[in-house]
Amino acid sequence: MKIVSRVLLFVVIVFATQYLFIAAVPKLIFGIAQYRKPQPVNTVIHNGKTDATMRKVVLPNPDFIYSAVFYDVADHDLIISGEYADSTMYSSLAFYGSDVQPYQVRNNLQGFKTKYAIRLSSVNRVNRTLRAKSKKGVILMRVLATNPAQIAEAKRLQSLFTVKEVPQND
Amino acid sequence: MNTPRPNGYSFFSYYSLLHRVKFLKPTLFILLALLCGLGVGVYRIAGIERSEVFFTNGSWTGSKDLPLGKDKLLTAQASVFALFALPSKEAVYLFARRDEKKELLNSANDYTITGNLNQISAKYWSITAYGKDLYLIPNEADRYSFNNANLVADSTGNFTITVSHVKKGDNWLPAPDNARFNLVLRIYKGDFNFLSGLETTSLPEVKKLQTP
Repeated sequence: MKIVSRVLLFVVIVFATQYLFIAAVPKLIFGIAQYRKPQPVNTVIHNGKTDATMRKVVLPNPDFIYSAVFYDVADHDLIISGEYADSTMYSSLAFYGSDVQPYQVRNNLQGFKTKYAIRLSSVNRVNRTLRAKSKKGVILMRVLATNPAQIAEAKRLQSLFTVKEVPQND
Repeated sequence: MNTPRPNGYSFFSYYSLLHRVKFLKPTLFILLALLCGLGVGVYRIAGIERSEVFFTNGSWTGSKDLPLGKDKLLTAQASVFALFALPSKEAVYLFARRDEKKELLNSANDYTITGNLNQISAKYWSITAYGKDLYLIPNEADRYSFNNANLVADSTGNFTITVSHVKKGDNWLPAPDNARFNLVLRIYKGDFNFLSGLETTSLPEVKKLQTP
């Protein structure tokens, strides 16, 4: 009887540990990515053309040029401004929560205006505000750039991509 | 209650320590259970090929609609194997770890990927080679992938990509030196009808090149 109860306890601990571990992995990975980020939160990190030296994120796409923002909207809102590529190219803006899963993706083929200014907030607001799924997360701007002209255009779009902290009650 | 120590065991023997330090047994028990739990967690996350939400079409394995954020195991797997991936409505990712004979891709062999440019109906698609560690494979040519815009094809759109450690053919995709590697087929903004039949439609074929 004592052995049976011990085996049961063992199985329960194993089951609970694996469940909690699996549930925690996305946040752990976000924590590691945030720890390794080269810039403070709410600032834009621009990357050049992706090659084999890029070893911060697995499975990077060498055809894309990326800009990233590790955001923290606990105390501020963020205004994210920039421009989408024209329809001959592909560009997108993806918002990831602290579970590193995307909760909003906007691209240049969806009919949005070319220029954008998106307010990201952790508090409920009226129209034209994107409610952040979590107070911390990542914004990724991707631009497909497979030839020199597209690379030049991607770099121009990167230069226009900015974030600005504004008060939550503004 | 003191457990009598059998004759022949010294004060610092394994037996003696286990009986003198009362908390050691339950601590070891819990530690072992925790380690087993972590091991099971790692095993389940690594077992992405066993997941039922993925379909297999030829050498390619993937999903058109991952319930990310809802299914904790899939969310963890996506975080580990495809960090910052886009949702399926934006991009579909198909992975090839094995050739047509279901053998793991290994650059001790050369491989061909054959297909037609019109086979995939999408804004953009590409085939990229990654090392076993899921990072791009360093090579002198600075070539990591081919896409629908830069593949060299014949007049009917047929193409052949050669995956090899040494340069071969018009569409040479460098592989590592005698090591396992992976291929990823990305399909961005795929045509609705094309994506609807993705499980059965013809996709570029990965084949091991037979050495003479």
